Amino acid sequence: MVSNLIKLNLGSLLICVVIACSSNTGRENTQLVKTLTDTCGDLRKYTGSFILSDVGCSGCHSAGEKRTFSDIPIFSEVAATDSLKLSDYIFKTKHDSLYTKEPMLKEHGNKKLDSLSECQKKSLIHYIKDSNRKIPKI
Amino acid sequence: MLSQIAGNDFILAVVDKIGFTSGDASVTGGLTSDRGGPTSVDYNRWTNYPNIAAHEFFHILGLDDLYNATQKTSLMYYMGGKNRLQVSNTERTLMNDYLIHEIENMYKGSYANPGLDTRNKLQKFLNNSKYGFKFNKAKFR
Ligand SMILES: [Zn+2]
Repeated sequence: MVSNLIKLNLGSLLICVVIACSSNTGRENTQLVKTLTDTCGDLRKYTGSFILSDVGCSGCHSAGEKRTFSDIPIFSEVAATDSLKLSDYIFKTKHDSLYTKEPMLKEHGNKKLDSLSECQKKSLIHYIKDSNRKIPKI
Repeated sequence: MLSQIAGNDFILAVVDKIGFTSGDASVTGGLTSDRGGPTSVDYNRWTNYPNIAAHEFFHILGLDDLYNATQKTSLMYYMGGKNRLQVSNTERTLMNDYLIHEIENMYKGSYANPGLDTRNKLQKFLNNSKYGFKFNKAKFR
C-alpha cells in the first residue's frame, strides 16, 4: 500500500516534469543562458549551428525525412531526444556503440565531438533541441 | 510590379514559403542575399515572429547576425523570437556608415544608373532554387 502510494506520487511527479518541459517551448532556457554568460565568450565558435556543421552531424543524421542509414536516427529524431540523454550520447564512447551495425561508420571520427568544450557541448545540445521547435532562423 | 522597381530601391519580398534549410532540422523565416538586398520573409513565419522583417531589412543595411545566447533580446539574434528589439549603438553606427556611404555614391554616375540592377537581382534571388522560395509567379511580373 505504502509503496503503491509512493509509486503514485512518483508518477505524478513525472507528469509534472513532463508538463514543465513541454510548456517551456519557445521560451528561453534561463539556466543555460546564465551558464553561457559565465563561461563562454562572445564567439561564433560557441554557436550550435557552427559546431554542428564542423562536427558534420547531418552526414549521418539526415536533415530531411529520408534516412541515410537504416539504424541511425534522422536529425529530427535526435532533436526529439531528451537533452540529458543527448548530453550523455555526445561523448564518443556511447555514440560509437550506437552504430556498430554500420561498419563503414566505425572509422568515422567523432574526435571533434570529444574535443568540444563544455560550453560548446551545451550550446550544441541547446541548438539541436531548438531546431525541433521549428523556431525559424532569420 | 517589377517595372516600378528603381535601381536604388530596397526590396523586401514577402513570399509564401522559404524552403531553405542549412543541413539540420531547422527552418528559415527570412533570407537576405547581400548588403543592399534584396531580402525576403516567409509570410506565415513573419506573422508568428514580427521581428523577422526588421531583422532582414537591417541585414540590407549591413548588420550581421548575432549568435551568442546572451544576445537573445537583440534584433539581430539569428533566430526568430519575441521581444527581440535591441539595437546597439555600434550597430546604429554601422548602419549609418552604410547609408552615408551609399548617399555619397549617389553623386557618382554608377549609383543612379540602372546598371545597379535591383530588378534583375531580385529575379535572380527569388528564382534561385537553393533558397526554395514559393510565391505566386503569375503576379510576379
Ligand atoms: Zn539574420
